[in-house]
This record gives sequence, C-alpha cells and structure tokens, in this order.
Amino acid sequence: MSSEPTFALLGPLRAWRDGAEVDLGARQQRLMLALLLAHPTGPVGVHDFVELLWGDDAPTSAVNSVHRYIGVLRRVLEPDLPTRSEGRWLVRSRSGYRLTVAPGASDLLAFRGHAADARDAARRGDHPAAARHFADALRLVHGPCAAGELSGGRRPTAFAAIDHEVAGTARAAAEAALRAGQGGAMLTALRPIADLHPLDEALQAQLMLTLAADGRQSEAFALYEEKRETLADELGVDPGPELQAAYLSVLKPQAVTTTTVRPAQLPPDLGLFTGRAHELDAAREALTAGVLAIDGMPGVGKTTFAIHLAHLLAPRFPDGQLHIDLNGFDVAAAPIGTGEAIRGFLNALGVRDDAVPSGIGPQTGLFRSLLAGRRVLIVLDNAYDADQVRPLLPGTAGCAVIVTSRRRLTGLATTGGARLLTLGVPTAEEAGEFLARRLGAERAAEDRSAMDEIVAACARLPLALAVVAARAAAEPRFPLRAIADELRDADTDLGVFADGGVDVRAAFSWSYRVLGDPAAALFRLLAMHIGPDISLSAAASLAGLPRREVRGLLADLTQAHLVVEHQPRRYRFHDLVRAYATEQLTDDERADRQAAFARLLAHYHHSAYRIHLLLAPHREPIPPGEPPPGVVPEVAEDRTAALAWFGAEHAVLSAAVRRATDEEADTSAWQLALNLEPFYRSRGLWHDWAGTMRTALRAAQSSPILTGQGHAHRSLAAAYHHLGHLDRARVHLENARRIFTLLENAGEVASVHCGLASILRDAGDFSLAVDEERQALRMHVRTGHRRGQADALHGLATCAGRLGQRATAVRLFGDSLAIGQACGDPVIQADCWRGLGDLYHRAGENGRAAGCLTRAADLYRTADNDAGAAAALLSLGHARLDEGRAEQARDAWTESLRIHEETRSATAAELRERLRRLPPVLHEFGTRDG
Amino acid sequence: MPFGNDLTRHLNLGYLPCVGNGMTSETGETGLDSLLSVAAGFMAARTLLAAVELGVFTVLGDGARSGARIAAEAGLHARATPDFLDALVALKLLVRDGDAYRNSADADLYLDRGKPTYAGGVLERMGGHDYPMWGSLTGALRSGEPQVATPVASSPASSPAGAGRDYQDGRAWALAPVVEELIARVDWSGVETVVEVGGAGLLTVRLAQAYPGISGGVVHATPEYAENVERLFLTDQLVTYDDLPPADVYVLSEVLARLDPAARDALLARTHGSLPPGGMLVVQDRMVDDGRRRNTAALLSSLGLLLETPAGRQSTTAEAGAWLAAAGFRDVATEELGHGWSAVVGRR
Repeated sequence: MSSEPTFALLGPLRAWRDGAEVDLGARQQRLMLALLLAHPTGPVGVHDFVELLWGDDAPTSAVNSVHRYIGVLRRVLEPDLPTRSEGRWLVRSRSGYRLTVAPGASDLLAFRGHAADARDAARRGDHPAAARHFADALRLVHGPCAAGELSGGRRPTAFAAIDHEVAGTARAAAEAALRAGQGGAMLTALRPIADLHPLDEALQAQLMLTLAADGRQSEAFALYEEKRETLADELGVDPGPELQAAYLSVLKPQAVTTTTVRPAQLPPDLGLFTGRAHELDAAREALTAGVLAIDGMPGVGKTTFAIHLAHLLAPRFPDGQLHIDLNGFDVAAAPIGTGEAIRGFLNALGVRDDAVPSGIGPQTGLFRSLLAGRRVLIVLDNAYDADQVRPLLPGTAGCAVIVTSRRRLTGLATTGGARLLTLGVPTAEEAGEFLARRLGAERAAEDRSAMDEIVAACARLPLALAVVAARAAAEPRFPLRAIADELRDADTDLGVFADGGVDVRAAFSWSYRVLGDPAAALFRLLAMHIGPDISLSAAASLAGLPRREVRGLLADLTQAHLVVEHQPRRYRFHDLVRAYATEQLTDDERADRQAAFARLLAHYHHSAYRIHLLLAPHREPIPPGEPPPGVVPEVAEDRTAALAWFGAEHAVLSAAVRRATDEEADTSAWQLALNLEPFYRSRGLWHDWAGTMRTALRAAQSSPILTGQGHAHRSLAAAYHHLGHLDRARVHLENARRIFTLLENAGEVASVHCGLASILRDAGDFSLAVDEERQALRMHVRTGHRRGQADALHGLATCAGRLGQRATAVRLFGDSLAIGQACGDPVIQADCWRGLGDLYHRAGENGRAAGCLTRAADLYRTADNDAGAAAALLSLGHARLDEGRAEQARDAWTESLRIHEETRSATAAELRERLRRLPPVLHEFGTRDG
Repeated sequence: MPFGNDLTRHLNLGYLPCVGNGMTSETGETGLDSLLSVAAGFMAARTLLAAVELGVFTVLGDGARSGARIAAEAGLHARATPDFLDALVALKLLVRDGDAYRNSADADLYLDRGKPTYAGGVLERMGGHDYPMWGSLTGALRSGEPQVATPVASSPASSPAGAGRDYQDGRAWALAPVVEELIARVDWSGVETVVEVGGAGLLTVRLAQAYPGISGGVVHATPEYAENVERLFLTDQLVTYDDLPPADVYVLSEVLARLDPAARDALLARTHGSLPPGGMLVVQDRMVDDGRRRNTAALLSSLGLLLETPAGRQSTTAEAGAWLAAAGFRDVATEELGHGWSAVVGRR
C-alpha cells in the first residue's frame, strides 16, 4: 500500500511518492497527467486527451491509446496495482477520467488556497496578511504551467488559463504588497513571474511600481524602456495605458520635486503694437484657460499678435511661459518634429534629456504630468497642422495655449475644444494707424490720400506696411506722395506667392531697390541660410566678406525691416521676405549659389571642429583641412564659451547635417555630426545625438569612402548605449569594427573593443568584456595611445573586480592610475579611485572605500566633471552609511544632490529620498571601532 | 602629477626628517635646538619605520579606529600604544579625532598596503636594511670600507635587499614622475631598441607604452619586470637579457655610482662599443649638484653608497658628463629631472 502521491504543475511537471520523485515516463502520459492536474475538479474527456496528444491528426487507434496510457499512469502512481484495476487516484468518470487529489497534494490547489486566503485578507483590509498569503502562493510557481512538456505551438487552453491565473495573482500580490508598504519584500517572488509574462503590461506595470516603492527608480525606468522596446519589436505598438500610468507615477514624485524651474520663454513684445483691439478683447476673454488657435494669411501679424497677447496674459500664469516656433511653413527648415518640441519643453521645465522617455506617448504623458496643477501659458507659433500640435497640449485646466497657423485648425476645435480666431488683414483704419505710428502723426497727416494708397499697395498687410514704414522712416524728407507713386509703379506682375499670401512684392521691392548693391547681394544670399536663423559670423562666411563689412550690411537690412535681429547678432527672415529674396537671385548668382552654400557649410564644419576641440573629444579628431577662401571659422576661448556656442548653434548645426546630407555633401555631413558629439555628451542630449548621427550615417553610406560609416556607426552606438539600447549599440559597434578592421585603423578598432566591453559590462557579462578589453589594450599599446591604455586597463580592472579577482583588480587599477598620472589626466585617475572605492565597498572595507571615493570626487572636481563628482559622492554616501557614519553620508549625499540639481539630473529625487530616510543623527555612533 | 611629488618629498623626509625645521637660522649659524633636532631625527625616522613595519597605516586604511583596536590589530603593547600613536599624530602621519585615530591623507595614499599606490615597500627596506647599516656610519667614515656583510655593486633594484614586489611597487610610485620627465626630455625619434640595465624596467615599460615603435628590454631584470610586461601586453615588444645586446639606446639607472672607476670605465667603453653611430647612452641617478652643497638627498645617498658598496659614490652631473666624454661620447648634455634626480645623455 503506497502513500498519497504529490504533484507539481506550476513549472516543470513533477510527482513524488513516499518522499521520492517518480519517473513519469513517456511524453504522452506526462501530458495527460498535466491535463488531469489542470482540471482538479475533473473529469477530462477522452477526446480532450486525443486533442491534446494528436491535434487534428489523430490515428484511429487514438482512443485505445488513451486508455492504455491511463493504465500506465495508474501503475506509475501505484506500482503494486494489479493490471486492469482502477486504483485509488485515477478514476473513470462519465466520459473521461478524474484525478482524485487532496488540496495539499497539488501545488495548483495549494496555490489557489493561499491566493483565496490572501484575497479574504485583502477584503478585510488586512494588507500585510494579504501580502504574506500572496507571497506563499507565488513561491509555489517555478515556471509556466507544465513547463517543457509542449514543444510545438499548441498549448492547451487549460494550461494557458492557469498561467493567466498566476499572472493575475501576481498583480494582486504586488498591489497588496504596495498597500502594505512591503513592496520590496514581494520583489523576489514577483520578478520571476513577471519574466514569464514579458508582454503582460499590467503585470509589468505592477513590477515597475514595486521597484519604485523599494527605492529603485532607475531599475523601474530601465524596465519601462525594456518593455517599450519589447513591445515595439514584437508587437509594433507603444506601451499601453497601464504601463504608461505606472511610468508616470514612478516619475511623478521626482519630476514634481525636481521642477523648481519656472520657464520664461516668451520673446520680447513689440513696442509698437497697434489696433486689433476687438480681437484682443475677444481673445483675452476666451483665454482664461484652454486653447486658442489663431489662423491667418502669411504676414498678417499672427506671431506679433500671439506674442502681444501672451504678454498681456502672462501675469495670469504665475508658473511661467513656454514658447516654440514650430516652423510649420518655413520652406527650408523641416517642421520641428513633435518629439523635438516636447523635449525642448521638458528641458525648459527642468527635465534632463536622460530622464526623457523614448516615444511621443510617454513624453507627452510626462509633459502633462509636469503641468498638472500648474498655471503655465504655452505659445505654439507657426504650427503646420492640428496633428503636430496635439501632443503639445497640456490637457490641464490651469494652463492655456495660443497656437498660430496659416491653416484654420478646425481639428483642434472639434476634438480639443479649442476656440478658433481668424486674424484677417486689419481694417483700412487700423492699417493707417499702424503706418502713422511708425511715420509719426505729423507726417501721416500731411497727405491722407497718399497714406491710403500706400496702405492699399501693401494690401493692408502688416508685414508689408512695416517694411515700407521702415524705409520711409529712414528718409524723413521723402514726401508720402512720392512713396505712393513709386509703390504703384513697382513691377508686380510676378504672380501671387505660392502659399496663398497676398502679393506684397511692391512693398518689398520698394525697400529692396534702394539697398546698396552689397546689401542687396547679401539679402539674396541670406535666403539660403540653414536652420532657424543665422549668426553674423556665418553670414560673413556665406557672403565671403569680412565680418565688419557684413555687420554694416546687416544693419542696413535690419533697418529696412527686411531681416530681424531677434537675438544679438543672430538674424532671421519672415518667410514671405525670404521667398522674395530667393526670387531676386540673378542668373549669375544662381550659378554661384553652390559656392556660397559650400562656404556656409564649411563655416559650420570648421567652426564646430575648432570649438569642439575645447570639449575634450574622447577620440582622435578628424581635421577638415584648410577652410575655403572667404570662410572665417569661429573660435571659442574656453570650455564655457564652447558650450555656449554649441548651445546657440546646435539647432542650426543639426539642420546643417540634414541639409548637407540632402545636398550630397556627404563628407561634411558626417564630419560635422561627429564634431557635435562632445557637446551632446556633455549636455546629455542623447536623443538629439542619436538623431543627428542617424542622418550622418545615411550621408556616410552614400559616400564611397568607408571611414565616415565607421565613425557614424561608432558614434551612434555610443548614443544608443547612453539611451540604454544595448542591443542596437552592439549592432552598430559590430559594423564599426568590421569597417575599421578593413581600413586597418587600429586606434578606432581599439576604441570599438572598449565600447563593446563597456556594453558587455553593463549587461553583466564580465568574462566576455575581458576579451574585448584585452584586445583594446593590445592595440592601444601598439599605437602608443596612452589614454586608451589607461581606459582599457581600468576596464580590465573593473572586470577583474566583478569576477572576484581582487588582487589583480587592485594591481590593474594601479597600472591605469600610473598611466593616467603620466598623461596628466585627472578623469581617468578619478575613474580608477572610484573603481577601487566600489571594489572595497563590495568587500565591506567601507573606510578604505570612502578614502578612495573622496579622492575620486576631488579629482573629478578638478576636471570640472560634475557627473563624475556627483556619482562618486553618491557612492561615498553609501560607503559612509555602511561604515556607520550617517552624518558623513549626509554630507556626501547633500553635495551630490547639489550637483545633480545643478545639472538637472534624474537622480536628484532618488538622492532626496535617500537623505530623507537617513536617521536624524546628532552624534556619530558605533563608528570608531567599526 | 598630484602624487609623485608628495611621495618623493616623503622619501626624502625619511633621510632627513628635520628638514622642515630649518637647519640654519637667518644669520647662518645653527642654534642648539636645530642641532639637536637634526641629531634626534633618527627617532622620528624609527617611529615612522616601525609604524610601517607593524602595518599601522594598513590597519587604519579601512577607516578610523580607537587606540585599543589598533593595538589589537597591529600587536602593540598597552604601555606603548598611546605615546606611539600620538607621536605619529605629532609627526602628522596620523590624525586624531576625539579618541579615534585615522591616517593623514598622504599616509593613507602611500602607506596603506591595500591601495595600489602603496609605497611602503621602500620604507620597509629602509627599516630592515638601511637603518641598521647606517648605525655603522662612523666605522665606514674611518675605514672607508662598506659596513654590510656582502657589499653589492649592482643597482639597488636588483640587489638582494631590493628584491620583493612591495619594494618594486614603492619605487615605481616614487620614481614615476622622474621617469616621465626623462621620457619627455629626451628625443626618442628614430629609436627602435632600448636596453635598460637592472631592475624592474620601469622606464622601458613606460617607454614602450608611449612609443609603439620602441622594443627592447632589461638586462638582469627582476621577476616583477616580467610580470609588468605581461600584464600590460608588451610581451612581443620587451624581453629580458642575460648580457648587453646591441641597441640604439642604453639606459643606466643607479648603476654607475655603485661601481669602482675601472668597472665604470669598462662599462662605459662597452656601451660605447655596442652602440651604432648616433646611438645614445642615458645615465640616470640622484647626482650631486656641481657646487656640492645643495642636493642634500644626493649627498646623503652617496654616504649610503659608502656603507653599502666597495667603491661607489654619487658623482656630480659635471663629473658624469666628463666620464661620458672620456669614453668617447659626444653631444653630452645634462637634464635636471626634478626631485633630486638628473640624467646625463651622450651620443656615440
């Protein structure tokens, strides 16, 4: 007589009898047992077995076989059972079989018992008890139901249903644990189950929340990124609402606390604003909150109106103003991608790029959560259409949005509840007043009919009126009558402007014709500028003229109101004027256009090259050679000036990379992009870096010279690595390695090995990383690149430490330190001390660790490496805390927090939380004798 | 170079503990206090050397400890503990907060055996070998004879007393800035093979790392040299020799000063004979300044050679230059490497 067998189904199928595991035999009988266990209340029909074992291809003998397997199973469970005897456990029941199994003998039944207890406790509101019972339930799960029993695609519904039940229980468990404030305790049980259900977004969302509740925000974010990629790769979708909501709620506490920034992005208001009283009143009335979409033809003054309105309304929005020119109708610049716009706003609201999630959905979510409960005024100028605008709407009652567009954005009205306001040309009276304000009342009064004719010739368009007024004001003795006559005689049979604006060429030409030849030539050339605006220095190179001379010419153009100096020494066109300027190009100039464009591109390329050298590029720079005649590249004095230059120009520079790519100036495209790398790196603009580098890669791929492709792959890999896309980073590095190997560029191959090693380290694969570092070191020794040797040795030391080879690690850190010292490079020395500190900290030598980390922080500071100093101080805090010196931990973390806040890093909230959790220590205790 | 300077200063302090007190007053006369302080320098030196020997700084490498705890870990007697530790505080090697002791910044960096910057091996040798030897200085001054059982004329790095990883590591940290200075000062263009005589081959290793075209190795190298070479993947570039092979450059570091004039001239003649035309000889040592009054460390180390070698002494840079010229080298030039070190370079 044998005792009752016990079974495990939640994972690999197993059975035990008399305390020993039973060999369940052939696949068919195993599967049948699993199906029986999955139906504890039974019975399982013979046809269900047939379906399970053979699907639709059942042989005629199938039913007989089922009965035979049942017989075998019975003897497996009761070896002494006589043939053809039913036995105790597997009984015939109506049309099938049933396994009689006590609740304690099946893991599934035990699981259900614990889960039921947990739900009872949760209903009673006893969440700690619920969490306990749930944890007991989850501990029984060792994998998917009947793991490993089925190889093909057919998975019986019964098994899938149990998996589903487990996932549901895990979700409930996480919730109970969170409510009980014991999220951390549930993590161990939760993680393996979440791993089994990578696409169960609700479960992943609960895991994220549990991680965050345990203070592991960064892991929670990493999980989100991973899920986002998995979903995109496997299903081609963005994360659903549950994951996004979890993401936001993880983000929220830190986002709200980090954001002490009050954005003030409105451009200055125009002093001479006139008229539009009726529209202004209507708009002010309408816009206590919500969206106002202003449309109107080009040049009618939408932007001026919107900015003026925004300034009037600004006092009602104490939490700041956001502004962006979406460039919707700029012929040269592509409309700013919505993602770029949101990222700009997020940055303005105090979110660093490394805290910005990938994908428009989460970005919008973050944007909205940041604005929730605040009163911010947003101006979205020059929108292309409603779709471009929609993700930029805050969706919060307290915020207001002013949108301008040439199109009537009815889409926003129907789905977004926006109010629409069409700005028509001003009335003749308003236009007259507009002109009079600029000419002076006395002069305006001298010839009423001439005034009316001028207004008519300008089609009452404020843009045209402003241009005419500017010239008239410059020639105060010129009679208004003469102006009116000249405007009437102007050559205007060129047809209307392409995008439907009224033809005001007469107004433009009247000012344009009196420009000196050099100013007129510059005006025509400027029309081909790249990106949102152009600096004085770039204009000089574009024209091939000395800067001093160009400054005078630009002053003429500004005075004539043909270009606007919207920031000191930075100029932009209204696009109607720009279209006009392009039309005025002479045939000769058209031929010369290519040369001018080449000069402009060379200006950006050479300037970026020279200035990026100040930002300590981590790689051998690629000199662009001598600048072509007429190009005078810009220089910067120091690191700060270099960062400022890139900050001011980077929208132009990334546009230049795109333009160069489009115009097949491939070499300039990828080299310029490469020169942007140190700027992106120091500002943490990972998304922009990846975007620009993708363009550069495209450019390099259309060039027959392979070098560019190698560099673009390498750089793109680095950007992806920073964004946490380790797999993509690896693919690009492999490409870079193939190319540089082919080119026999040992230095770059070495840095590719280093890059691969650092990805492998991040992935926790230290043995493979060692191989890559070794190859890198060997190559760096061959090329005599000492900083590279130091890096590789540091990498080897790190791996050795993680592989438990401590003595080797210390020695290798020493080698790296010695070379870092010989090169006079404080950063690599700091890296080594930080590595040593982490090594000692892991070994429990907290005091020694603290000494090393202090040294690291000091060295990082001497190198102005804020990120390094902040990270070293963060580790120092941990070491001090483990040493029992809470007060010194507090000092380190406070200092680290200060730096993180300065650099607006996402770690700030985590630090604040850690500081909060530190005991309020007045005296150090238990420290001196460790 | 934030560390090298400090360390070299400290090692000098080991020889000359009271240099900070000022040996002469403003009038140029030595007061009795100063005299006594020079004389008592051995006490401070012995206190530091004992602390290194007992591993006090390594015990404190993992953070502050009470005196009792240090006594237990370093094996101090209760009676000795307070005065010993507080003397180290007074010497600015330890810091005391309340009743807890911790390492001073420099001691922590260079005297904690747990750190890769540990230079205590040099101090261990001073305590175990140099200190007793210097006790016989008077005898050496009278007899002119070395005062050790087996006088050695090879470089200290390869002498038996210099063996040991800790000693080599300590020397590496102390000499790193000197070596880097030498690499920066000398024109290595066109050089393919460099051969260094004796020791762990620090210069050769660093040189091979900096200049990919340079190969070569060390004659009579210590085992640490082979280890360094292997760890740093210079295996196919650097080797060990039993005898002087042909090379573009020979480096004699702490070698010439230990030899008698005949052996010295023979070695110079051999190197000259083995170098190709234009080949270079670099002689590096702690040479005495030509006025023979400034470089205290060099003068005292010359007395050390009196104690340790049959005929060695530190020359001045001018003398060394003259030896090279006499051996037929041309374009002889002197390079001040800082930290009391100099190099004399000549070409065949």
